[in-house]
Amino acid sequence: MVEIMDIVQQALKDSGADTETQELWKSIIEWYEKGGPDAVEEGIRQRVREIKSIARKQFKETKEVMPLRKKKKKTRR
Amino acid sequence: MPRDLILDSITIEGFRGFNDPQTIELNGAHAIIFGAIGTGKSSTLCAIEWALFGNIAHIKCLESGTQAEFVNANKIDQKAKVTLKLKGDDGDYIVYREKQATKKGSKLTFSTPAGKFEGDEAADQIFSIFGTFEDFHRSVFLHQEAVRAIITENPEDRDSALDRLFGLEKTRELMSKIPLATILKECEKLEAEKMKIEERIKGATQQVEKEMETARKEALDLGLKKNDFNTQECIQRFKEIAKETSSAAEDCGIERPLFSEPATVEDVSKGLKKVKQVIKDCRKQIAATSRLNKLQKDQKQINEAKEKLEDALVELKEATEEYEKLEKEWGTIEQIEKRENEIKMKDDNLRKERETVDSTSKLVADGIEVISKQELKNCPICDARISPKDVLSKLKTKVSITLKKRLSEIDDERNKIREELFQLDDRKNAISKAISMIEKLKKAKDEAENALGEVLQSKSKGSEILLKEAEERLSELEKELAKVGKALNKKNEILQKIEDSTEICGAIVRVLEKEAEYEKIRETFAEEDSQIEILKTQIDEMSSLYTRLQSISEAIITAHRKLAGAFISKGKKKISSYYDRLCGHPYYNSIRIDMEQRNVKGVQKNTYTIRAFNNKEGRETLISTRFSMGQMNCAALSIFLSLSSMLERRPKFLILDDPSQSLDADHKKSLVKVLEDVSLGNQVIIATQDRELEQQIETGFRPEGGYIILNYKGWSKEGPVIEISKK
Repeated sequence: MVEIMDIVQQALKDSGADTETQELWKSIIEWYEKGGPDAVEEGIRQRVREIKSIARKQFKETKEVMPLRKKKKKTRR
Repeated sequence: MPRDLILDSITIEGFRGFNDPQTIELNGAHAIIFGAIGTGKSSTLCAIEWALFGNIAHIKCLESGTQAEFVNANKIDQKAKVTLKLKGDDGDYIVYREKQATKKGSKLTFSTPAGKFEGDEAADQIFSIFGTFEDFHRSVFLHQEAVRAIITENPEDRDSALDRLFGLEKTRELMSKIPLATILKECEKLEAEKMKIEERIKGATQQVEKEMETARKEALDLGLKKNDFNTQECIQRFKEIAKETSSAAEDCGIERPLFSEPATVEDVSKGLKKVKQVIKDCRKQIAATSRLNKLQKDQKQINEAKEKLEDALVELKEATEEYEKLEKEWGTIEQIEKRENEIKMKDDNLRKERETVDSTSKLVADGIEVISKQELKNCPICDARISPKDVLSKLKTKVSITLKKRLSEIDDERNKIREELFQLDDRKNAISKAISMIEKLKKAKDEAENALGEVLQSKSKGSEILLKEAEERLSELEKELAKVGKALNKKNEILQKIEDSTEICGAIVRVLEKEAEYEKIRETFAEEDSQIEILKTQIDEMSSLYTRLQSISEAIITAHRKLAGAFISKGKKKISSYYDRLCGHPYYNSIRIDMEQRNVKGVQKNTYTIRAFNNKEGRETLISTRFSMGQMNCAALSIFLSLSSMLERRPKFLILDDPSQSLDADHKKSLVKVLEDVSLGNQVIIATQDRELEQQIETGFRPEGGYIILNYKGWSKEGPVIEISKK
């Protein structure tokens, strides 16, 4: 597995992959070393969750700044 | 590090079917384990892998996580113990594993010439010598299940099995664990969510957006440019319009309007309305005070009166001509009346004559009647004898011919007279009508003359003079109108210019108003806008993650291909050689492993196919679809044996569990010969229940240094009953 990790690292460098991709690959190696392929999957899913949660947080902040919409009052007939 | 490790002895206690401790002494010799199904052969082999790795490859899911099933239930201390004694070139290596049924995990000890290790340290030491559990199965221990997986029709199982042999199973697993499809789905989900919000906004803003575009188009059509659509430009234009409007109002003689200083588009809009009103007032004022109107009115009146007189003259002329024509044809009324009197008199005479003839006729008839009643024998005149019948006949003839003829002539003549009288009457009427028409037209002409004279304010008489005067007056008016019109046009031009500027400024106002309206609506969607921004960020991030993982995935596949390709290429000849010897196929004398890239549910994967071919004619076939189970088993054994011989490994023993599955006698014979070759430099341990293979081994297996036969006879309380003999 070590050998393949090195080949992948080299292939990424050769293909001109950006720093983020290489960093992600390093993370994958770390996850793999910690807990095998399942940990890799979990690590990636965590990234997906992070993307969603950061955005959600941002949305919350924006909502606080924004004035609230006026709600229509219900009138009895 | 030791080299050429061989198995010296195995001591098993409390493991699966084993109860009391049993030691199988091999002393590094080849071993053939015979025995019927369920006599403990596999348990012996499993004890070796369990001792080394604490695991058994083909038992993937245990009923509990404690591996308590490995411990014999009858064992009093509830402990399973296995000791492996291995001999290396530098001394003895002893592996000891112990498992308590009620506890998780197991106790491991590894004694080497360099020292004694326990627990994880021991496991690390075993790893450094034997490699991973997977390496062990790849190169040392050929399970029945591994053979079955290589030759299976299921590509996924085959891919996994071959990857295990190549040591690339973790790579495949790693590839499958990169959730590309999930991330792609997430991207699509986010995109759909974004689109939904965008659609909602679009639905609300569509109408205003359309109106805004129309206003812009109209403004551009008026010659405006996009950078004219701003409040400053709009105010500036309005100021100029206001100035011009004030000046124009003054010129037209109306009160100078006051325009307040505009600050917003709304102010400009109000101001433009006022400008429009002022222009309207100016036009009204021009219309009311202008001499042009009076001149035009005069011109119209003279023209009308002149035309009326001209028409009357024409009509009178036509009527006079018509009368003259009638008079020429029929004569005057007096002449017609004279003729009428003449023929009336004639008619009267004829009437009288008719009455006379009629009386005569009646008289003769009476005479005839009298005569017919008297009988005359002689003529009263000549006294000649007469016949009354002849007299009567003569009288009748005379009356009927002469009198009737005359009566008819009179009637004809009178009829003609009557017709002429009618005709004369018609002519008289027509001429009278023509005369009265001339009178009427004369009167109309006189009226028209009077009217024209009145319009012209002339005392002159006679049509010709009046018409001439009218012509002169009209000519004068024409000149005067041209003069007055010129001055008026100038005013109108100024007003028109202001109106045009107002329209252009109005177009800018409309654009700015629509833009403001659009912005106002957009403001109500601020929450949605920020939601869209967030979703865009999410999509970007997610897409980047997807792209990066895709690059990584591709790099892994490339690396996987490279390594697997190297293995395949290296083992190519040996695989074919083993296969040829084991299978002896009459036509397909070689096999090879092909690798290709396949898209499985959006994820790229390397997949293997095993093909047999004729190396002379080049024809080939897939072994999974063409070969029998026995032939496929030969192919699987070829692959395993050749790859295990290629791998650099320290253990020099090879374990084969039931290698003769589905083979017939000839193939078993071939297998024995191949195993004999493999035994050169390897300690071979074979377990089989196959009596035919047993016989083939007894007669054909001649490894260097002989071999031990472990004959599993059945079970006792202590465990399997094993007879050991040497050959």
